[in-house]
Amino acid sequence: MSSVNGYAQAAERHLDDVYRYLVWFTGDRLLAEDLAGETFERALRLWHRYDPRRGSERTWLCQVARTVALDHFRSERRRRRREELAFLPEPAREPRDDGLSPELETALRGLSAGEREVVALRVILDLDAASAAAMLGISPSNCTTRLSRALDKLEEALRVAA
Amino acid sequence: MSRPELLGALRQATPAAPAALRERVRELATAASPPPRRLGWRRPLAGFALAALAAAAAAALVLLPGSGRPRSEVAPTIVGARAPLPRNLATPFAGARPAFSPAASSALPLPAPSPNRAQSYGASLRLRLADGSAVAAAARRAVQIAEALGGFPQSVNVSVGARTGSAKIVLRVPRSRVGEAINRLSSLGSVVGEHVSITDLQAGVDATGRRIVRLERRLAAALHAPQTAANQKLVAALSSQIEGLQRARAATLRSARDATVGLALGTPAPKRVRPRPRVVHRGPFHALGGIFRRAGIVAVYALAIGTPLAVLAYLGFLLTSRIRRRREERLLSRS
Repeated sequence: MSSVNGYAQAAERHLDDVYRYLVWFTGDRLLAEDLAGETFERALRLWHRYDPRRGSERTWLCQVARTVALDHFRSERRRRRREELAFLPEPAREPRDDGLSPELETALRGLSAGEREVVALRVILDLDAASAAAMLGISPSNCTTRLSRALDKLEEALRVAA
Repeated sequence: MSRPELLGALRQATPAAPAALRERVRELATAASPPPRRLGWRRPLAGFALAALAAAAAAALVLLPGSGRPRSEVAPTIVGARAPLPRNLATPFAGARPAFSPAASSALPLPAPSPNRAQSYGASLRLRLADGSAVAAAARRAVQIAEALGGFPQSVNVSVGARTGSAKIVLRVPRSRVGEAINRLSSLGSVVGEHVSITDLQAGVDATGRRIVRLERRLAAALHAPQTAANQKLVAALSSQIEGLQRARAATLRSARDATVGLALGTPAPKRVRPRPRVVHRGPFHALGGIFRRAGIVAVYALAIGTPLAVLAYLGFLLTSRIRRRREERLLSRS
């Protein structure tokens, strides 16, 4: 599978999953599109390292996407620090516009990126606890706890909004 | 909203990738070819570790007692002859040259006694013979030689066993014939040691003679003087003193007339030689054992040094992973 054809098939098959993951992770559709493109560029460079015995293609691509997103967050944080020094306003986020109710979208904005990530992995991509935990570098029970807390937070926000 | 309703609502939000993004990824896959597979660091490291382990195992097999190393078989031998002898005095042993051989004589010319001076002459010889019976025969012969030369045995101490024997003999031989005696005694066996001591007694004898002459003059004067009681006492004292000195001088000259010759006879002690390892013909791959052993030593050192370093590196890896994870969590909790 570690060939150009294998990569092309995997990219075609899991493009939507990677994109969804990044949309949920970043909470920004345009940013997710940029990061998805960067993810697949990097995945092409690293495709020879992919080992099917260590996980599925989807998990591996999501891991690459996570690294790309984390790099983005780090650079964003540095940028924000510089702009805070210059008193520049925070740029507005592109709305998700993916069929969620306004209350749910508002509640989702109250979650941190880490909480959104675990919801995306476990609920949207429907990864099992072990795969999601391996990707996040935490234990499965920790992953389940983190998901439960995120969902509790969403429920609480929706209850307040209602 | 209940938890199942919430999960259902979340699952409905499944945004699809835009067509532009899909096209871009397709172009990536078709246009670019992935770089050639590079050899990572894990496989060479694992190979090196396996090679080191194999070398260590091979070295352990080679170094373990009784595995592969040739054993030297000990064959005790008894050396009867050819023992090293003192330099310049060494002559072949009796096994190679029979006792009583005319050639077996003193190796060094010994200083001879002076015929004109009174001297105390002492000589000692150490001879080596083949066995106990040769020692006994040599002892008898030594006594005969002394008696034939006008001397006598002062002491004889012979101890003879089956294969070994020793004898200590002290002979008194006329000083004028001591050279002949030593020559004949040297022929009894192999000379392994000689010793000569000469002490000149002539000066003392001459001094005693001069003192006697002086006393005799005083005695003659005393005899010609009037015979008073004191004079008679002096004459008696001088006469006694002169007699004592004359006796002492005579004794000194008597002792100087004969020379003392000590003779030590012995047999060599059986000696165990250092066992020689038996030379075993080895195959063409015998050198592999040495190579494996050296490789094993290197591997053991590498493991001894490398293991703590590997543990440190692993601990460092764990620490940096933990720090990185915490930073990521902090980063994601703010984003």
